[in-house]
Amino acid sequence: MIKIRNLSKQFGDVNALKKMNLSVQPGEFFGLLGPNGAGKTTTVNILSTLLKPDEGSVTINGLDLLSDPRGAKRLLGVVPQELALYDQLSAADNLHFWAELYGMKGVKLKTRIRQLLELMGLADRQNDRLATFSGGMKRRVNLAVALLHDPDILFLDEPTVGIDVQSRHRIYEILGELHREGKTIVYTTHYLEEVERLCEKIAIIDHGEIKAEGTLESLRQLVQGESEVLVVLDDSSIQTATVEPLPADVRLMDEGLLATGDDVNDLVQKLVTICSARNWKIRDIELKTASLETVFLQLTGKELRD
Amino acid sequence: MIAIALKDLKIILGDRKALLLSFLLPIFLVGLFAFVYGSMGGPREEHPVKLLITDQDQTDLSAGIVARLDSLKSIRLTSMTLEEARQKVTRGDYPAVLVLHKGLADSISANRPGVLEMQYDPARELEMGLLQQAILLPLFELIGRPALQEMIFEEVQGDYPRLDPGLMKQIKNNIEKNFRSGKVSQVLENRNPIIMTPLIPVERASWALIQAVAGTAVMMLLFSVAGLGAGLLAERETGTLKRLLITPLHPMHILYGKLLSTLVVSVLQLVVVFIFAWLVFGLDLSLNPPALLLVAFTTAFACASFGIFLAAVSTSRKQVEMLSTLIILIMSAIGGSMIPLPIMPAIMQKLAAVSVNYWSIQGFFDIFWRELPLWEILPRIAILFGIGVLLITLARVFFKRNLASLV
Repeated sequence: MIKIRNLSKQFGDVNALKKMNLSVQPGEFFGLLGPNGAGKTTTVNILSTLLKPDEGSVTINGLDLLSDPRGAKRLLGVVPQELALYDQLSAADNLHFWAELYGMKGVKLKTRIRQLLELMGLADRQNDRLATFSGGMKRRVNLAVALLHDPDILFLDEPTVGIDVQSRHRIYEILGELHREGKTIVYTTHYLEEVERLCEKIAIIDHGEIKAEGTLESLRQLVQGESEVLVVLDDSSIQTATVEPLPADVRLMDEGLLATGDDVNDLVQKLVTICSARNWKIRDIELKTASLETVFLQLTGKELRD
Repeated sequence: MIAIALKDLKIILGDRKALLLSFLLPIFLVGLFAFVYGSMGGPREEHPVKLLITDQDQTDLSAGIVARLDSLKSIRLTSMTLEEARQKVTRGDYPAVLVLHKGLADSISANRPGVLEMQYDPARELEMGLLQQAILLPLFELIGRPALQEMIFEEVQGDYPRLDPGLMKQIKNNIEKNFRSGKVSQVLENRNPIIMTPLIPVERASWALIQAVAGTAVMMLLFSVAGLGAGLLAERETGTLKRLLITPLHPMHILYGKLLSTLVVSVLQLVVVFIFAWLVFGLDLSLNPPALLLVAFTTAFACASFGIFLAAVSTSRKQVEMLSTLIILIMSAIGGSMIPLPIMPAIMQKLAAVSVNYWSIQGFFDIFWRELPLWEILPRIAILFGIGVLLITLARVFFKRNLASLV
């Protein structure tokens, strides 16, 4: 279990974390969401023992992170956003090197490397240099390194950035298996659909504070009363829509136009009027429940973050 | 094309530190080399040559010679016993000792040669040339001219015993006049009245070869380790440093691991260079293997520590490149890798002691040229080791301080 109490961290004049409180239960798949500069990286860096907080405490499975960081490190597996691997070495050599740093050796080390290479679907490429791997394969090795010492808790920072759909789905499957094995997973990402799909519990962080925390359903209830209507358009209309100015409360999505409001009739009428005026062909109209994106935007605002 | 040039200029001008260094470096090096080479062509009075003297004759004449040489601004004279002096020359502290042997005054009056001897280090030929140039004329004035005048006059008297005393006096006056006019002095000046004795056998390895091998090897080693040290910053850029810090490994062990790999490569590099010098130029590696191993190891250790120090104080690879170029060129210039130490101004020779190059090159000279026993080379080995320890200590401090910004 991860317990964060009154965690604060300041960088110069910037309050990166303001007395943050958070709990992650054992075996939970936890999503940490927030716009750029919200405090996600600072939180993960403190939990990974890379940074020391100015105030507050963190316990991991009852172990105080600040007084026993080395002990805590053995419980943690971290998958950084960067591909923190050696391109000049083979996949097996990379795993061998990182495993040794966790004190693994002999048969145990070899067996674990073999297991992980099979789990990642890379057994047949284990002796190839990483430089010859695709982005998706490297991401899988990146994940395997974090699992070498079989940690109880896994921190994943944007583990699917820049990879193809197949590799992403393979990683989802692996994470699903790890979750079923009982591992606690803390996941940060910009892809909200990943959080909707994978996480049991979600915290939305902004300006160093937890703005909301709970299951996907409980977060959706925060914007209850709000409805979303999606007007699905044909391809040529979507093409035209990309260059047409739209009202501020209507968003262009991949499939068509989306409007959010408390009166479904008004929303439908509004979207149909827009489409008729521009001769856009409507293929379908969907009434959607509030998405995580709606909740996210409502809690963090639409202002651009750098 | 212009757009590309403008973009590049904008990027170059944007990196102020790099820009400043790229202008400062050539200015500094031009200044340094101008200072060194300028001193070679300048008046000798401004850069006196060190000379030891041993007066075993202890006569008025020998005391006069010592006083005369001591009055010369182009020489810095120090008196000591022959044994001490020979030791200092052999160890490379002084280029030569002028020995005024017992019986000097008697020999001069009896017109016998072989009483004035210069025992010197053949590795310092250039200084020897300057020394001889400085002392020959004064010595000739003191001991050569009166004796020669007297000899010529006695010859004339012996050949023509019946000459008129008035004519004889005129001949004597003419001889003295010719000597005073400098005609005879010029002829005799070119004949060295000093017996030259090399203290180190000339059949040993060429000092130029030792200078070339040791000087170049150390300089290239420094460039090589700077690149290896930058590997730490490459780990930062790829994110592996962050991952290393997340493992149970102590952060300082990352630094020590880098040091160890750099040290191994450095030792191998030196081994390859010396084996090459042995195979191609015949450098005798069997002279003092323990000392050679220790000097090579401590040189590699000091250089590897320098590489790690560079990586710890810098926060980007660009900074490592600029800093290493600046520091290595300065150390190599003042430490004797680029210019042999003896021809440098005295102040530069003193400054040389702050460089790794100096202690290493002198260590190799101790082995191959001076053929000193191990215990006499140990102080230089200890200093090289000390430089390494100091640089690692500083690297630890900077690495710890920069750790937060590295992740």
